[in-house]
Amino acid sequence: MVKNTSGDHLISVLRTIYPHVEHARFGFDKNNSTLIVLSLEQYAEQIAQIISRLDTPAQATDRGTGNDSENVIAEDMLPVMREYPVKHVDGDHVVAILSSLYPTVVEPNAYARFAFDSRRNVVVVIISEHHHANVKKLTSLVDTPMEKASKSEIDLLGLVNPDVHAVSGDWKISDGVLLADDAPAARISFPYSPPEEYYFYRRIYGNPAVSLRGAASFSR
Amino acid sequence: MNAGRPPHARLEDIDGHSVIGNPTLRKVNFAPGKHYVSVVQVRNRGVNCFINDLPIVEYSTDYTDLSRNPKWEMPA
Repeated sequence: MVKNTSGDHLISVLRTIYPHVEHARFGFDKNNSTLIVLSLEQYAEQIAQIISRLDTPAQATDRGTGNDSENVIAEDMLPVMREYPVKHVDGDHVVAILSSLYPTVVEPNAYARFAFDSRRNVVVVIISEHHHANVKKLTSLVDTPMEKASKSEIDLLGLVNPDVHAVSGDWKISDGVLLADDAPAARISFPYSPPEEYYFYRRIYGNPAVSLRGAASFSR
Repeated sequence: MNAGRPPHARLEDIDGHSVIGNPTLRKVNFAPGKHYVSVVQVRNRGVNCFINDLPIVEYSTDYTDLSRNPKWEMPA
């Protein structure tokens, strides 16, 4: 029975943590305000703990500090759920970075799971205890006011010149946005060689029938 | 993203398959005028793709089965 949050919100967060239907399926019975969970047995207790944390009254939420022993739900060597409040940045951004550092590949026993609970502004982290110290450190490094942010990210828009680097299609930068025309298979090559492992982040606007085409690659 | 109608997202090419036969093909309901954020995580053990933080592709690979589709050919 869901009491303090919406079923849609609860399912949204749970599906971020358990994205694969082979592992867990979630549904919500609005008539009875009941969350329905079908999961592998190994996840049942963990999911129940997550739901109990997420379905708390907003004003009574203990956001925790990552050190709160009340957040611990399992033994030292098993995945442990902790919550990390974020104050300065989008929690989804924190989740994206954590996911890039701890890839959550498709495995029944994925060793790391991350989600952002936007209702309480906390990042939910399920990972082995010995990883939590690093997660806490990383979260505090990422969750800094904009003026204190580090320069670990490369702004590709600052490197590319559409007149020089366009490969196919008509590209231009307008108001800080890289735009392509409706040419089929529009392409542009960024003058940058990424490291062996990296993440490529892009914010996409407009008509997806047009702007989601376009491809970018790297060169130096 | 946006392969065919209705739109789909996928990681391409896998074993030479772009759309048909691509195991990562997934329908995504893109809406005109809406903002989307895509994140592609390239790791030694595989590729993870997210749209608006929703996992679209989590593909374990050593990259021998991945290739660039000819239509996206880029200069060497």
